[in-house]
Amino acid sequence: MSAVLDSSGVYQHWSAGLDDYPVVLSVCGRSGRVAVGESGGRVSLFGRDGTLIRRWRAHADAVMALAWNPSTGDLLSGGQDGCARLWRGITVPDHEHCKIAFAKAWVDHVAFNPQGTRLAACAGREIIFANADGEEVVRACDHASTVTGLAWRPNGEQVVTACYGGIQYVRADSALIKRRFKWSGSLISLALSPDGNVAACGCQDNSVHFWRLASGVDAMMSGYAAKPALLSWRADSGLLAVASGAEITLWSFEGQGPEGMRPETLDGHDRPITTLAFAPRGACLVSGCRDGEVLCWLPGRSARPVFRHSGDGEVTRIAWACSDESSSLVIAFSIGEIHQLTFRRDFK
Amino acid sequence: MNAARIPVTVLTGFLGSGKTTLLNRILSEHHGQRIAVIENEFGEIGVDQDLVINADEEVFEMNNGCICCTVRGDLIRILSSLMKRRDKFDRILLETTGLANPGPVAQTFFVDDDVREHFALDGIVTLADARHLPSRLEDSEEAREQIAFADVIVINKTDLVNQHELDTLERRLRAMNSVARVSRARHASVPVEEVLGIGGFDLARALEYKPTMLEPEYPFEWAGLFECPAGELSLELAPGPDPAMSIMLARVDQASSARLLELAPGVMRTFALGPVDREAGQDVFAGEVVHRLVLRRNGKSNYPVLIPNAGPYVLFTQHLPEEFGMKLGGARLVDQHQFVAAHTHDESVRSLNFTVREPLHAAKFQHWLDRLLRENGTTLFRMKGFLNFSGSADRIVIQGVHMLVDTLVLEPWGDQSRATQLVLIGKDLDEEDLHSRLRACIA
Repeated sequence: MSAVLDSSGVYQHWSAGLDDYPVVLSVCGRSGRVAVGESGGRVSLFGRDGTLIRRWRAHADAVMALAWNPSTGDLLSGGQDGCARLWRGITVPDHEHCKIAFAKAWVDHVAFNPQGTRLAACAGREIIFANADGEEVVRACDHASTVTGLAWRPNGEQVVTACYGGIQYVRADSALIKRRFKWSGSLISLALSPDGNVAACGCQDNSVHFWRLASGVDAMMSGYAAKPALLSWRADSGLLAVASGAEITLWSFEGQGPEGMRPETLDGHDRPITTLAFAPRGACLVSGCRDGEVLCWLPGRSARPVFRHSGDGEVTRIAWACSDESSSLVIAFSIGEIHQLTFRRDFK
Repeated sequence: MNAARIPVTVLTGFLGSGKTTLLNRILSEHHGQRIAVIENEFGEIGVDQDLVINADEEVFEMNNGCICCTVRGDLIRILSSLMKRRDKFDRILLETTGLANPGPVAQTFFVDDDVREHFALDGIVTLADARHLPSRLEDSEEAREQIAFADVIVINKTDLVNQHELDTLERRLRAMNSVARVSRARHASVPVEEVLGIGGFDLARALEYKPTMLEPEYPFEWAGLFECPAGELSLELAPGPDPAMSIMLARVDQASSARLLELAPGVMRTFALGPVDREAGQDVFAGEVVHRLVLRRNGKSNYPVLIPNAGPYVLFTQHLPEEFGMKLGGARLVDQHQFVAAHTHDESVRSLNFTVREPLHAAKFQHWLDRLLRENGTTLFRMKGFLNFSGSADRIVIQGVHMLVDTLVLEPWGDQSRATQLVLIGKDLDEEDLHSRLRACIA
């Protein structure tokens, strides 16, 4: 667990091994703690320095989703056992505070609002809203099909959800669908711009569809060779990165774009990209690949990756944690390895 | 393509046909395989099973300009997630709801790259309730499509109907889907190897898969090998489903079933020349002539059969003998064979079997195929066959689900007799038009 300084100024801070497939990864913005949800149903919790704080069976079946409460440090998990569970503790979330049970289906999405006052969870067509203590406020099953994407609007009062047939605003206090944006296609993922103005969805039919939410104007980018399921927004909401196969395309939402514009492409991976994430601050984009390669990019500044890292197995998830001075990246590999890297923000 | 793809077997069939019984039977038998089950919301797994996943059947249209291209969105999600645990099971069983159309399930394995890379559709097994299916076939499009899509049809609950009803149903199902294997069962008790590992969509296994697929569509359903004494025998028939039945009697040099089958193509040509009508009482004789026996409306009809020399004879009949209570008095039945029936029932869903010996022009065939898919893509459920192109030494295998078609170069023909053989299973397909246009592709 010694820090190794790379020639590009990146430290591999720590690495850890699990004996299970890491399905999902989440870093606490307050404490820097890393939670890993595993396919066998356990959650592993690592400290900022890579110490394994706790590993416990959170769900009877695979963990599908994890979210940290940004203000309290509580951890929310969703699993294939049809439950979302809220984990709480004085110093670490060490006990189950409450359980939210769904009628059936896998809990694919859990999220706290930016204020940390409410939470939302989805399983199949059902959505449940609760307060920060996990006390259920309302549940509804009004979606046309399984919810495939969930994001809180910045106001913390509504979520945007995606499912087959379009996206919608859902009110957290009533679970009523407030507004629908229809598109008769199979939407498989959702990325809401950090400013809350644009919702972009990957579609099963190899296209990306997006809506400018204030006006309802929508557009699509088609012609991808593979399903563009992975989407990520730059922190300033000016750039949308889309991964399709081994290629990343970048759509600029600054000025007139992206309608009628050609996207930039980032070409560096040899195999399909499995995870894609812009840093929550700055402009650094990271992509992980099926062959275990991780590339860091600074779109706009260089068409070549600014940093490479690799591990064994497939990259399953990547999560960022940023402070004023540095950024840290946590990478999960399919063989159960977790790597954490630290570098100065944006390689300045 | 990943060699170690996980096989997925789909179980379809109407409510009450025995899907869940078969599922439980497969799971409880000791077969050394770890099976994950994707069950529909009404399913009832009765045995302890580690991995049972409940699925809502979410059928989505694809926006790819193909109106019939529908997939199961839930299946894509579930399978994509199961990929992460692929070391934990060897096989997946997927049970659909009774009213499900198998098309979207099958298409999911063609359309989604992730699913295609990690999973292989092993086959569609359709459970048929022996007693209730006949009426379902009349009133339900889904029931007809479940039969049309099947690689294996299990006629279940055979104890609830008599032999004649069973035979009638089986003939009807074979006319609708001539490539499926048909087996009969009580309480869904079929050997596991008949429903798992069937390779129904595996192009490389096309040859081993279904021998009767290679049998052309004969204008006769049955042939019997008789040992006949010299003299006058009597052929007796009772009124049946048709007012007349065509037959042909042929002399053979030895009483073997191989000889019986060898005769079939020649007899088919003779049938094509048209029959000679025979009223009850008029005599019938061996030779290259087809007799159309016009039956009395009431009571039995007898036709004297003139046998000049004692020995083995083969009698070909247009319909099955039991449908007319047929007997050849004085002769001894040594062997018999039931042929893949021509479309004797007036089904909207049926199999068309085309055989063309002459090599086809590859580009012309492509046009024929494009037009078929364009015009009949929505009602063409499945297609299977071999292609024989001029200028190519290779046997090419083709298969399709609706408008999605795969081909694979199988192996050189070598000294096997070359022919294009295609089976199309679909609804309201124009056989004559398709056949004549296919023949126009001859190089």
